[in-house]
Amino acid sequence: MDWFISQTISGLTLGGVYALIALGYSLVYGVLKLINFAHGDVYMVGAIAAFGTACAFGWGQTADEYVRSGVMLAMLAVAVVSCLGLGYVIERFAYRPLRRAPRLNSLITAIGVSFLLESIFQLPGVFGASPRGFPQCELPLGPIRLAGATVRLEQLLILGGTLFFLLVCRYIILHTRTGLGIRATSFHHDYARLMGVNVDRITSLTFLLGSGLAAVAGVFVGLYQHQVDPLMGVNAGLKAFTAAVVGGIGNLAGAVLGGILMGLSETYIAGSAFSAFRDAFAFALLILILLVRPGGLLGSVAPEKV
Amino acid sequence: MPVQLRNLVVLLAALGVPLLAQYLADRFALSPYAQAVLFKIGMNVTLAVGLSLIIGFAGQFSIGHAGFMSLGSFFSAAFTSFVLLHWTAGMDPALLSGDGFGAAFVRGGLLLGSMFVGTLAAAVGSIIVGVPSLRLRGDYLAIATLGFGEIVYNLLLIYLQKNSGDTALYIDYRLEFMSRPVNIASAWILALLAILVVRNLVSSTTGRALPAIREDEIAASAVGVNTTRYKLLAFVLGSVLAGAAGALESHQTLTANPASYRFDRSIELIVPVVLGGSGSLTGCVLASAAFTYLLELLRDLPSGAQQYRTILYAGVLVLVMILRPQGLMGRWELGDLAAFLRRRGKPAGGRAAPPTPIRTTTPPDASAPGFLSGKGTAPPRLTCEALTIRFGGLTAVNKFSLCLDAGEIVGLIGPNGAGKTTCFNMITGVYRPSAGDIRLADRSLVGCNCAAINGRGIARTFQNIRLFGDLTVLDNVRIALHAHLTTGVPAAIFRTPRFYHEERLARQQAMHLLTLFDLAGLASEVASSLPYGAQRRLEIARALATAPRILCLDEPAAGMNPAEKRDLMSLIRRIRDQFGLTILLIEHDMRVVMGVCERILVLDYGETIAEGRPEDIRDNPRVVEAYLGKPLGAQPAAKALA
Repeated sequence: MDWFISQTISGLTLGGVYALIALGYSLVYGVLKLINFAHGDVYMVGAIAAFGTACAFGWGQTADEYVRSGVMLAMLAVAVVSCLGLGYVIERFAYRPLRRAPRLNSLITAIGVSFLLESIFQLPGVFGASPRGFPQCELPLGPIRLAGATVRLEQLLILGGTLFFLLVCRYIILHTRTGLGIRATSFHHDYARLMGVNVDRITSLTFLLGSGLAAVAGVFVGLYQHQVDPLMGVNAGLKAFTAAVVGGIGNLAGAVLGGILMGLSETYIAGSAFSAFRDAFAFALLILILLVRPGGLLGSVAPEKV
Repeated sequence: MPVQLRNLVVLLAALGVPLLAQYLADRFALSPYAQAVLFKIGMNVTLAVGLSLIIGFAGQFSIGHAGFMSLGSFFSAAFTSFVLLHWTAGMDPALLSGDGFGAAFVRGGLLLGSMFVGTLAAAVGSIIVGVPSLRLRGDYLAIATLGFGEIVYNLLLIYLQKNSGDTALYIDYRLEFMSRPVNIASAWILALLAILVVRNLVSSTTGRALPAIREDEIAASAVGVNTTRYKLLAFVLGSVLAGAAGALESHQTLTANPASYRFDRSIELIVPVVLGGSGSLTGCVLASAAFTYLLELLRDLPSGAQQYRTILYAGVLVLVMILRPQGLMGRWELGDLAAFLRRRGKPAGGRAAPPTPIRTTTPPDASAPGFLSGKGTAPPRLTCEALTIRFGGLTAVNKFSLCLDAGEIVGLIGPNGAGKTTCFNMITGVYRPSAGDIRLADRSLVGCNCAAINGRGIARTFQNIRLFGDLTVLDNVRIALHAHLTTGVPAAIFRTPRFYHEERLARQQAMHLLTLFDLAGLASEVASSLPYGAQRRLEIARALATAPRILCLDEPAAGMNPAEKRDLMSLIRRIRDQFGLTILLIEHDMRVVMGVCERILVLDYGETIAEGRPEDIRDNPRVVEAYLGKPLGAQPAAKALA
């Protein structure tokens, strides 16, 4: 039972992070019908930006609670701002020129951008090829006992933060003019344009929203796993993308559900005797879902208009 | 020279190239490194050709292709190790390692056997991924192959670690090909075979189904192409080539390392295909050879510059995609150059004559020999019984009933959104009705896919023209002859005499139909470059090429000028008489409908509101109301009722 509770909490934490990244995939897929392979690397940049900020402010050396909380907010801010910038640049200069080109071109360009980011950050002058430890910091409260299981405070912080940012995202999508524009653009570019939606602007904003969420995920993972490296986006991106597809790509609630599902299944399996099959299981789940419910758990396959 | 003999000569000459390359490499004692690069070029060309079949010709994205290489490499290496360990244990060692012909034969045979096992593994893997994901349109194959590549890596790694504690499988004996270690000749012969197979396939009437699927999957299935089957064919064939290349690679490096076949390798495989021009075999062969060489050049950079290699590579990739989206060669092939040179040799004037409007005088004889004749019987009766379809809460068509007798021309009219095209979509299998039945000669069509329904003798055109836009006018029609061919993929690949016979016949038939529609002069033009009216005519010609008994025309007069409309009316009657068809027609132009239809059904909001002869329909008050609204006087009465 203790094992189960602690695994569930870890699974939810990991799942929340996947959900934050998966939302970016789903948002962009909805608007551009593009698998944005560079999204995992935007998340990596978020983590590295947070790492840089933490190092610059000497986080982990100071004992002052207020300074530490302040630095944590600064980390979040720097990560979000740098990812917003990156997301905008990628969309504006790599994807926008290809809006009318065959789909494969955008896909290849996305992969090219992804490789570009990874190799730039692997340069010794930029970050270096090997992983670096995130500065650690004793949190005011030690491990918490919850129904017999031990829970780390970071986990609760991340869970709360994830929930907060998911709600913010939900609010933006459902209750703002921009959100309405995003939904209209996802439905049909030309119809949206005819109704006065500035599709280019909305596409940029969608990238900004997705990149911001990825940045938050990056900061959380840095705090949680105490390690960042330039290739950390590859695996996380692949998993989050899988989560988005499992939930129903283009469907935002589906992305969150898929993310949580991925996180939970991954931690349960990792804690079991079959831990070696952790990654294989995730992708087997993906193929299984495609087989039984091609549109994903919450999505549907719309019949093509003939 | 007979064509069979010519093919044999070409094949032998082509096979001479790898052998000559190997001979020259040995003669001039090329360094092992240079030999390895040449080997790699052969392998990468094989891979690019296979992937070009999937991505370029069939238009499906396989982005985990290295996974199939991994399967080929691992299973062939495992097979070789197994045979060496168990089967050769009691054998005379001289039989395996000796100098004689017998020993060389055993080594070569074992290599071929291992490669077979490797390709078989790749084929099985591709069927497992392909069958569920290729039934669907869109990015599903991309996603599934991506996941599959990772699964293969994970499972092989787990297996290796459990059994040997290592992360790779090692072969401890160098097998030989033609008494030499796995070498340039073997890789280049594989590449050559790959090129020949793919070229023969895509330049046949059967194989043209692949670009048709790439251009428009729905239209392809509407002309009788079993799209799932062809997508699977391309996917499995491409994966088999990847498996063979993987098998060869493991026997050259004596290692099968799953870690070298992950996502980054898959991307490395796609890049030359896209750069060279997806859909151009010449392009992808040249690009993959050049690309392999360039990557080796970059390896020679001073070590300080090494780290910029991937940056350079990724940057070039992004730039080429943005600046030249169709790839360096587009769809251009070496064969086009030969055709161009031939054309230049001849005096000018072979150009297409300008399109002329359809002449109703002296129609060519439709009963030409071949695929299109032979179905001389009267068209079977088509009945729709209480056909209903709902999209969510919206009932688009409600209890639509129709009975089409042999040789009728029936009109289906109604205001926009009445559900006319939806009826067509149900009859032709694009949508599955929620309730009701469609029967053709007393057999139900519900649940059949578009291709099967086309095979039963129902052909259609589309409201928004759906031609195979990037293909020529001739090819558009030839693809539709597809279902009549008796020779299939093997005959296309091996170029049997029967293949040539049918290919000629297909061309004749297609040209015959084009002549009938005044399109013969435009045969070699790209379909999307045709004027609107000609595109509509081409769509009818394409539908007729499937030799239907019932033809469904969806707004054939849309966008035509009055003269074209007049010609169209006589054309519709003429094809009914000449081909002995039943015709169901959706049309908004009342002059066309009233002039050509013998019976008319009127739909409004999914309900059939009237049925009868044109003159009755014209005066029917409900029809007038549906089109023009209630007369003013009727409004208060309705209000009073409410």
